[in-house]
Amino acid sequence: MTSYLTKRLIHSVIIIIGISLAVFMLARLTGDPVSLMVGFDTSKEDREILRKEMGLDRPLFVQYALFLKEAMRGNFGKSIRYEEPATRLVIERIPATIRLLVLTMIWALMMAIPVGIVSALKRNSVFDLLGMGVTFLGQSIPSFWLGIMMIMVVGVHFRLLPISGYGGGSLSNVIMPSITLGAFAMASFARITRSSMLEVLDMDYIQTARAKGVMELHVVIKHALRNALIPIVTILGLHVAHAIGGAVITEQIFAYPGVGWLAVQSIYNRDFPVIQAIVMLVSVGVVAVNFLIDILYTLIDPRIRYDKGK
Amino acid sequence: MTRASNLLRKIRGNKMILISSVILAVTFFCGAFAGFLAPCSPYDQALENKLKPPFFTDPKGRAHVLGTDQLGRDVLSRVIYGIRVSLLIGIMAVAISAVFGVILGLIAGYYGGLLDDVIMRIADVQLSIPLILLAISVIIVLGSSIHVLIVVIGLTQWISYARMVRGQALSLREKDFVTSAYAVGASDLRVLTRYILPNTLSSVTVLVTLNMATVIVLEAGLSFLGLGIQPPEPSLGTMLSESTSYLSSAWWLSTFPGLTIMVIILAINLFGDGLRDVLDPRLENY
Repeated sequence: MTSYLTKRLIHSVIIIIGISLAVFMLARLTGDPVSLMVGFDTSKEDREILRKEMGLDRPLFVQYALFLKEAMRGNFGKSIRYEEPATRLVIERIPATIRLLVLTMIWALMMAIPVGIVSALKRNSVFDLLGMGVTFLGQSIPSFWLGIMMIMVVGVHFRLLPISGYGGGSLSNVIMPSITLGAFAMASFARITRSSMLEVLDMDYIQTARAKGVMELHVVIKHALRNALIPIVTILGLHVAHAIGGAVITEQIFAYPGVGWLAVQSIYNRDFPVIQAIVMLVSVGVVAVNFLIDILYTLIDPRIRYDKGK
Repeated sequence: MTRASNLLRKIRGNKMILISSVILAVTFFCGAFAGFLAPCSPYDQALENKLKPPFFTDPKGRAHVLGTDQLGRDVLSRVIYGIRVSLLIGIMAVAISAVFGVILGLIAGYYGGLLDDVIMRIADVQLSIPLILLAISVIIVLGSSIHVLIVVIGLTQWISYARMVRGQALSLREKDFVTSAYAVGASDLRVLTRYILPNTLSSVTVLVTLNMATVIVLEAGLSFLGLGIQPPEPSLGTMLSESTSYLSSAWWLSTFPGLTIMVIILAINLFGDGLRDVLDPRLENY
């Protein structure tokens, strides 16, 4: 198991280096990174100073080494708009976004897994058809439209929930954003739970357990679900990355002050250092989540501990 | 019965495909003949008629079936033109990503080794950067125009094609018909294009269909953020974004463009799922 995790850790480090390379090259797409790092009103002299500081007169790989060195210290330059270190601005926003993401993933899984199990057990029943119909809808509805419709109906018309802001961290401010953000993941989790349950329920060991007279509930939870969960864990990482991207739009709709909202504000302000810090930090976050999922994997799927670790 | 006619029979017998292809046909018709079908110009402003509800008839006797927006423009006409923009970007971006992804997947799977490693690591890196953030950062550097939008969206989508084609090329490479093609002296290029590529096409077709949905939502999302299609061009995402200022007064502004996107996505997903059942039932996980 440790050698499997070591391998995944090395893989993660390679990916992070790749991300830093991508972010570095992004700033050079226009040919003049300095113009992205300073405001329009910066004087020619100041630009020259920054150019020297960033080592733009040196060879490209030296520039990259400098960038990497600063990046490792968490330095992505100063925000053009706020004149504060970009990294600090991003870190201030992280708790709000994590709160949104965690809530989203929790409700999506808590809804999806039971729906998937029951749909699989009662295949082709009314519940199954209804459940799969709703999840199909969930996969097809654009999240930003769902958000807007909820604001209009739940927020503006019935005045049940606040339509924007952080509300000092009150739960009612996160409900609509997290439904908006989680609909797609929920739908996809439910469908995967259903299909992998169907697959697992056909297996010999389930028949054996039943034949031995194990209680049906026990068969479903202990024998079937545990194996059916593996595909969910596999796609969990992808959905986390997807949800972080989705949070950019969701936070914008609900003026929810997280990292995504900061990203959009930074675009409007053409605040490239902040964008750069966001892309870098968020992507490293995604890699970290994926590594945690790899650990989770070894816990629920013993095969990995023995096979892949060799 | 030949393989093709057998396939055709299966496709015809599939209700999901039948229903969705009718919806998609109507959508494509709307997009293709937008200029002909739209009752008004999507740009014509008439401030005296602004924010009128659906089924409003203006003093000139023109009916606005879906109402008018904040500048008095006909919502139905803008939706129809918006469909055209969505489909256009969708088709172009999917074409870019499919071509790009299939080629990289073929190379990675067929040649293996370092090339494979590099291509797959690039894919891993790109998957770790959330799509919207990646698109945003490229657009902020290059500026937003319809061309940038198409290329950016296209380049964010190649991974699923590359991964799938790579997997198939890996296994096809070992098949007898490929090794015998070698034995008679076929070049790599010939083996790739004549023996391997054709065998991946049915999966690629399914993926192209499903990918179309992703791409259309992505375009609408970027336009919603103000990074895609710029006003006054009609785009469903831009219309939704403009509608957010009128949520309490003009429900039709946000309802119809969103509903249109949803119906298109629903139809594409249904079509793609049906096609997958018929062409390639194993392709669940891409």
